Amino acid sequence: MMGRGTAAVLALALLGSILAGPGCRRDDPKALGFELLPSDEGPFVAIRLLVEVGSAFDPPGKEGLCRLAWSVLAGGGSRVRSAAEIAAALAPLGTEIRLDVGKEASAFSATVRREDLDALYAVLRETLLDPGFREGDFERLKAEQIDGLRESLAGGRDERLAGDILGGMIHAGQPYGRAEAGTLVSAGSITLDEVRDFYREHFVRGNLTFGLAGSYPAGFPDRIRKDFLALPASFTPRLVPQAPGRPRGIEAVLAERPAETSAVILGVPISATPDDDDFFALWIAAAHLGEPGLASARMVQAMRDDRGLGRGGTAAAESFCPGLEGLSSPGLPLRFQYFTVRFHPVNDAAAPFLVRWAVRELGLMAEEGLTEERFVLIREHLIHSLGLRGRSLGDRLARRMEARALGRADLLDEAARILPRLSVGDIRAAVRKYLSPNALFLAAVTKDAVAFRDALTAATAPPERPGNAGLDTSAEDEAVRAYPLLLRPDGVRIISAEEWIRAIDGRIAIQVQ
Amino acid sequence: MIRLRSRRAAASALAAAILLTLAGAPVARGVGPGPSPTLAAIQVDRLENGLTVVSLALPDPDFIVFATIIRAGARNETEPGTEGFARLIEHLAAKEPRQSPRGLDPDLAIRIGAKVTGFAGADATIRTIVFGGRENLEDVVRGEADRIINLEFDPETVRREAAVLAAESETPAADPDGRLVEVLRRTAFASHPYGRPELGTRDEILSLPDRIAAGQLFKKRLYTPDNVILLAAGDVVRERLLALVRRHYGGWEKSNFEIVVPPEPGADEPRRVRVAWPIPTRARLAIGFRAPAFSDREPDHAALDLLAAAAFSPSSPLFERLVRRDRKALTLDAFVDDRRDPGLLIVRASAATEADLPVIEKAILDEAEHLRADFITVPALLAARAGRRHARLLAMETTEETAAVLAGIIGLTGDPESLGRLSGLYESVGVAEIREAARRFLQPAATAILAPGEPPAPAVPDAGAAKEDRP
Repeated sequence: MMGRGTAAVLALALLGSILAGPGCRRDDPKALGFELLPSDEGPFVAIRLLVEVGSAFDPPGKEGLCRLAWSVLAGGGSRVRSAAEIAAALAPLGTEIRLDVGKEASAFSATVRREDLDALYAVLRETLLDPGFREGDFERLKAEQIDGLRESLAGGRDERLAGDILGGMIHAGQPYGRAEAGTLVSAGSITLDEVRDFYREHFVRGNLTFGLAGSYPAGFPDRIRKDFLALPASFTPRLVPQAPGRPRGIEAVLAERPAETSAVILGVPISATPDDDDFFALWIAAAHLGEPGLASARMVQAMRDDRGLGRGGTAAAESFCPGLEGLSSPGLPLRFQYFTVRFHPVNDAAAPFLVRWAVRELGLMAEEGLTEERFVLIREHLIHSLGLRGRSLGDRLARRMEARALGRADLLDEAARILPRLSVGDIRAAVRKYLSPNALFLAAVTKDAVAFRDALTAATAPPERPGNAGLDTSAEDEAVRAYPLLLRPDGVRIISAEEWIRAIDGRIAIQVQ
Repeated sequence: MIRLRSRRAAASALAAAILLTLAGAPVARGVGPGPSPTLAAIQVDRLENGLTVVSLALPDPDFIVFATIIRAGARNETEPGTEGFARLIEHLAAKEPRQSPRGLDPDLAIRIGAKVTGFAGADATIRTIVFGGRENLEDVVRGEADRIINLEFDPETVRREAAVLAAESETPAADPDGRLVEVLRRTAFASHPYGRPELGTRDEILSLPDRIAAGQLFKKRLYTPDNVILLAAGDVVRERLLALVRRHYGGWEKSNFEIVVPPEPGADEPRRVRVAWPIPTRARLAIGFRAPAFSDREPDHAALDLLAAAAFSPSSPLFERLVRRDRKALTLDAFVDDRRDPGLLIVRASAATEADLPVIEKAILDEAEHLRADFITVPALLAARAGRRHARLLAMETTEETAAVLAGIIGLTGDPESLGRLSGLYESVGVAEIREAARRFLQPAATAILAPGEPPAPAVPDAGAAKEDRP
């Protein structure tokens, strides 16, 4: 049975998404957009095509269509050259065309030597404007996508799976709740005609922005502009999805599959955006908990160092597009932000302890805030790290294009402007405003979901020592075990991970145990 | 002071500098290694105690990478009791001291926003700190010197880090791809440490706290100035760097120790192993062929690397047949180990069902046989060579990437000039070198198969004794 909060979100979602007009970032909404970062020097050129159509545009029952359609463009060859001939053309360039598919947008990108730009562009132009759409390539790429879904159960990808499930909870029943690859059933039902139709409908000038960075020739954008006149002058209206609701209490989905480790992610949507000081205050809170690579992050110290429980984890105050999370990795535009706390896989028995620990940490941050000393240290770290992040041409271009699509300034520039003016009080206020230990979504991939649920719903956690690192953490362990979780038994749903992968429309199949 | 714009703009300028220096590589084909082109900006100094200091000044204002390259890894864990210490020592060095007994700032890396990474591989341990602000260089050098010279084996810390390592070892064990290669190596190497997991086995990890004396000896012998290279890249001035290194590393004593690594016995019957995976997953196989040690002077390793690119990559005829045309395999790839001692050329493939594996295995082995007899078209060679050359350049777009590539190669050869020499070497490899490498090395040493469920009978009965392995 689903929690009331989720049911309310679902009910809202069933009203359907509203279609809105195009983004306001260009004069003519039906024209090709450009983002240019020219440089007179330097041997490389980064090229990026942002398509403002992502998996949220998949028709119901055909989840995974956008991903498959763009995969066919990237890997299916052109009408003139086969996929093998395209691979042979790219081989001497030492690069590859990367495809990223998100909820609202997708991107094709590559970096090459300046001398190889023509060869790369010839491949891009051919495959994007005159795709091959061969049955054999389509079937192969479809099998690859389905295989990727199946493999998410095989071990080693549990964090990604837990993240997908969390997205499904936050946006239950909405297009934004679907995994980009769809499900076994939906992806399996996609036909080549549907891929062709999706391409014709959505691969149109108004949806596309070309980005170029580096030492490309002066006339290159014009060349692209002329070539892409071949595409229809139209656009896909942007989706305006229903705002996600907040959970009532802690709402959990425990996905069961037969492996020895558990992956855990807690999250909640936040309305703060990089336009607000609050967003960066939450960034400091997230960094205190789990800034990637920060050895003194609480999740690393408390879990990895003090208890020998896995490798700790990471926390973030932004979107969690799989594989693209983190301020250092420019991603795809997404109008939602989430505060997330994710643990790297740990042994099954320890996972419920992590949940209780993380919820208590959020509670402590709201009640007590950070110490002045800790706040200054974390803020200083973030400020000084800004210049070290995302420095390649491709990273800079992607970050600029993401910001432009969202109508915002460069995230790192904003961070450099806002972080220095924050105070320790701002962090506590933002945590209190946006986060509550009593309102969280929890997704876990685990071997024994019933035991996990029982450990979470018990008044106090089981007494076993959670780790074996030998440091005396008994006082904190005791406090963690006694920390009350606002989690009703009917707020915990146990599902089969396999069923979730198979589900026809991305909604979570509920199996009450 | 944050100088985002200047730092960003600097990245492309330094890439230009690197490209210009590498462009000086000889381009003749089939004439053997040419003269040694070097990255012009690399400067190498050696202290009296044997410590090598490499400075690579690049036009990247206020951005510095400082790497400590220790030529010790799991390969050196040859004496009983030393198993697992390379990775443990890397962990101990990485510990942020919560209280420093030597007056160092335990929060330095955090305060300056540094990115710190460490990795202990088979042949080398590399610790890197990336930071902004040349004014921080002395503090970084002092801190990094202290971490390695004064590294201690506090029993309590060792016990905790052993628990961390044990937990870390669970992650690769849960990944079928990682597990397949680990099992292949274990099967291919009977005596060389390359056959052991780089982390150590779980039992070895858990017994680390009981073997501290062996670890201390391991550290005393190998974590010494004559076995370490320091690399600073970016906004560095050689003279200032040298002065700082002399001040903080000058008193470090060399060991002159030479470790003996047992050579792997010569070729014997190919071995097979099968892993039964408890969860549904695609079936996969990995075939290991003996490969020569990494070299920046002899052509065999480079030739085999080019051969792998030409014969098993997405542009190869075999890929076209197995993956695209017949759709027997879902994936196919190959790579050659970059190792100090002879390693493996590993060809991997996966299939929707295990029933397709025998066909895939036969196709790979047939291709190897074909390559031994008659390789390679000139266009395929030229494409592979250009691809490798350009991929290497693209992998060095930023200061951080350049330092990572350079550090990795220095870890293998100990020679900062290897990177420049490598470009010339690859250009010198022609059809004759590739044919010779194929003839000498394309003999299968081991095959590993991973598939869900219980193991059936071996797919190729005449390929050697079957063994079974359960995760």
